[in-house]
Amino acid sequence: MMGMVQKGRAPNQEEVKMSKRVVVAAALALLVPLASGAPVTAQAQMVAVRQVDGKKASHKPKPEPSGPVTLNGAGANSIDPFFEAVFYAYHQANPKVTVNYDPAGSSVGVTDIEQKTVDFGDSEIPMAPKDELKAQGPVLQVPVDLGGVAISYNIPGAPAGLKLDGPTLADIFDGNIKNWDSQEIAQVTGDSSLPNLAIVPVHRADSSGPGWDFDDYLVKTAPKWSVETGTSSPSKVWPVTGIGVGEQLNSGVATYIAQTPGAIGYVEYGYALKAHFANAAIENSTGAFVQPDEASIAAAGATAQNVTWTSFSIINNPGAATYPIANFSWTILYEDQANTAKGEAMKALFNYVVTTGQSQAASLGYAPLPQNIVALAQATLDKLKTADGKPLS
Amino acid sequence: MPTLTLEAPRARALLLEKQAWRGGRGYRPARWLGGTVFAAVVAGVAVSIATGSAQAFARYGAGFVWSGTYSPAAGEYGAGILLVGTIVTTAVAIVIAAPVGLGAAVALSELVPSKVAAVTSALVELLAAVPSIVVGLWALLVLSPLFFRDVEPFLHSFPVLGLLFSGKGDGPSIILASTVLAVMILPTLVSLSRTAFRAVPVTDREAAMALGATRWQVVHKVVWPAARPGVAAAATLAVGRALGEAIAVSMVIGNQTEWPHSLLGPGATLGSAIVNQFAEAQPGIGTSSVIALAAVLLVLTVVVNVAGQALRRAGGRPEAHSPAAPPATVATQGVGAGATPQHEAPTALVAALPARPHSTLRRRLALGGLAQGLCGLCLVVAAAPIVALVVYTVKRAAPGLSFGLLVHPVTPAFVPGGGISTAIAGSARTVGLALIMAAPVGLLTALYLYERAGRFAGLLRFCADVLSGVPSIVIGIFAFETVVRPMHHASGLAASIALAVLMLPIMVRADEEAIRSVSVDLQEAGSALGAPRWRVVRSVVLRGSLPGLVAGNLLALARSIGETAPLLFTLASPSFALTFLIFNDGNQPYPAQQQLAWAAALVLLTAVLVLSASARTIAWSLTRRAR
Repeated sequence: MMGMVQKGRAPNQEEVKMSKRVVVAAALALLVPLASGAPVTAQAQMVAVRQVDGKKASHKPKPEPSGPVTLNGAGANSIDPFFEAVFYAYHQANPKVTVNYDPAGSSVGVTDIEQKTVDFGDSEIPMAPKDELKAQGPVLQVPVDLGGVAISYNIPGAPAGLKLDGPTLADIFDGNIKNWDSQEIAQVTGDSSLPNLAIVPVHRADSSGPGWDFDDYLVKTAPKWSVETGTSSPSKVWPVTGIGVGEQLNSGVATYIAQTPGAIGYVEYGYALKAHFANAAIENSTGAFVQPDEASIAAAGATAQNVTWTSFSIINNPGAATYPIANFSWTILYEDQANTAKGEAMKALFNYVVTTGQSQAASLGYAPLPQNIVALAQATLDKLKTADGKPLS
Repeated sequence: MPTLTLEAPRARALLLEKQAWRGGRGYRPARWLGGTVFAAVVAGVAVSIATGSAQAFARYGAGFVWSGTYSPAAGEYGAGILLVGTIVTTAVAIVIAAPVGLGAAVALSELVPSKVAAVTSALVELLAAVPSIVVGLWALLVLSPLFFRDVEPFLHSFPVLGLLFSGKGDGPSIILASTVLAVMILPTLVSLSRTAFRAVPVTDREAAMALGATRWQVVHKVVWPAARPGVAAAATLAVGRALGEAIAVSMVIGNQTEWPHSLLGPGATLGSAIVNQFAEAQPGIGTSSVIALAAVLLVLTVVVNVAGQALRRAGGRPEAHSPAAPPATVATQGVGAGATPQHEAPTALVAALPARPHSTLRRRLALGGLAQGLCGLCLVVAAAPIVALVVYTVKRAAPGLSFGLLVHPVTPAFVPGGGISTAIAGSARTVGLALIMAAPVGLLTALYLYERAGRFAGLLRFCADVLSGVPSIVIGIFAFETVVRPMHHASGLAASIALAVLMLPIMVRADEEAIRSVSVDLQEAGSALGAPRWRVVRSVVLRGSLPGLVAGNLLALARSIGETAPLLFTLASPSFALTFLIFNDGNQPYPAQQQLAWAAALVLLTAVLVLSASARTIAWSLTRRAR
């Protein structure tokens, strides 16, 4: 009996420590979730996503980002291939700056900036003045890329560049034309050989920049579209319900088109290009039918005069070579950058994006920004300030 | 320092007491603290969803729940269409899954040789751990085109049944979403139903056999009535899971907010709408309305899950059996069931047996053979899709899989040389931190439940039932509202907290089960030797249950590493977790990105299967040792 007690006691000595450790671990587990924003969380976060919180840096004025800086952004899905490529190249050249971008959609870029859960947001359609009021301070919006919205389709055997105009597209997307061999389509395309195949219009399930652009084009070119959707102002939320299929993000729409014969949908041209889609030639304001490509999107960009973030639309602009459904994408930043190191890093980053970074545009299905827009972007970036109102270097 | 040779009882008692308090002082408060943290977490989830949705409910009132208006564009919200969509999708899923699952469970429990059954059951339980994002990826890239081309036209042309399938299917549809849900819940359904069948004592079966019942009659007249409550519990728990599934459904349902009119048409559920709209909802009424959708979903799944858990517990007790159950089914007596003295043949069976058995024997045997064949078929049907999914994943991922892929960081699309190491490391870090946070709380809560009865323990048990019913997308919202929004930063910490909350109920339940398996005799022996309670707990209870604890925590780990929904709103980039990467890249139209998604799916699948297989192996070796 005695022996058993002795035997049992020996390991117990060590285990006293173990039980202490359990208690300490429990206490830690308590602390971590409860204290939000406290130093404990900052530290844990550093471990979790390998980022250095720059909170300390704001106290001492530091001229250059000496330590690594991580910038978190979220927003437009359309710009994602371009952003990712440019941010990656920038990180290669400046290893201290890491940029994370969550391509969750333009509206996410706007709401995340409003809630200040990101360092920068991005939206294909600039943040509206009423949304700016909801933000936690004045914002700046910087045009960072020029892209087009392709109307892509999957019709086995049909050629690329089917001619389509606004009224026909409206009929397709509100369900009035249901089959590819219909008379109306044959009249516009001049091609009566399209197969007897049901049309599946696919639209975005989330709200989107391309949706806004396409809606804007239909509003401007198809009078009955406004009547049927009940609104004459374009919206990021697709205005028709109950017709076709809704998919998330450009990628979801593109994946659906790729695997569904009969499908037609609107996607950022960059996605359509890389997925090798057949894109429709869309009727522009001069009556010419134009396919999206670097030249026709650049032509649309060249028509942009006196663009600001409150007057930004280049939909259905003039010019025989102009692709009618194009837009600039807008990065949204807070004018006052509380964290100087991050602010300076962002200013440098986006100056790079609108200049050197533009060389990546063409190969990814975008067009380089025209000079006047680059100037606008740089002038806007120069307005970035530190917390105490001094311009950032 | 006094020595034991003094043999002075008082000195010895003092010494023991001193030792007892050294380090032991913290045991009771720690146990209580663990339970309190656990209860606080559950309360925190409830409070954050309640406050988040308050604005919407204040504006729309209770009518929000059934209002058919849902138009984010117009800023008008109501949950009605989505609620109906959720219920329809789940109902169709259970209509598909229940017969198949039940048949498969019967086959496993009653018909297949026990060795085959053991292997197959283990396989089925492993398959239950397949992450829903992998099922979603497969459904999106493989099932959806298949449904578009073949299945939907076939269903449409089907006589009579075709009425449910009016119009033309476009691939993504309610029926596709329901099928995906059915595939997901089948392993759970089979595994839990089989447990219910197995709990029926062998002696009942033997008694029926002795009266001349065929094998099928034993199943039909004896086993089934006794196991019915357990099967009902299994079905209810499966329904709970199907109701709350968000990610995979959003990938295949077609996302149209309209009243469901045909199963071939697209639809939307509460979960899929939250996936699509939470991140982009406008702060204010928009965000509040999406959180209100989460509140509706939360109430729905929690009610179903708590009912399921109650049914499951009741299923183990004879007095809760339906009147049709045989009187002497004492499932809880487990091993000792053979000794039950008052064993009688079930009256229902006696009545069912024909007066002249021989004349109908052939008929009964034929009928039984047919039914058995059908059950065997069910087993194949139940296992086929998910086995196909695993095989397909391996096939798709294998050609592109290389060492470089595993060690290179994620690069942008079209930049060659990229890999998935960022995502692997991100998943490991997020889940690891979650484990560190959840494990102590889970263990201490389980200890509290083991040591104490009473109101607080009852509350904790209820909390565990509630929390295990909360859909992971709702936990994601909780983490966003309580961590990301106040901290102004998406972070791995927020994701870890979400995963920790998801792990907790699994841990509490598994830990308590492991602790309960420790022999009471040993504990009493420890106490008799004068050891204080904390010491008995440490040296006997915890040591004895260690393998079980490890197994339970591994299971929780396996489940949480496969979670996607909570990461959507908490991580800064899709490349910070395997599941998020699959969700993002699997839906890209480019072969290279899809290849990456399949590779990530294979890595994830391997991790999950290895974790759950280790857990099962540990649990299995334990039961073997106990025998």
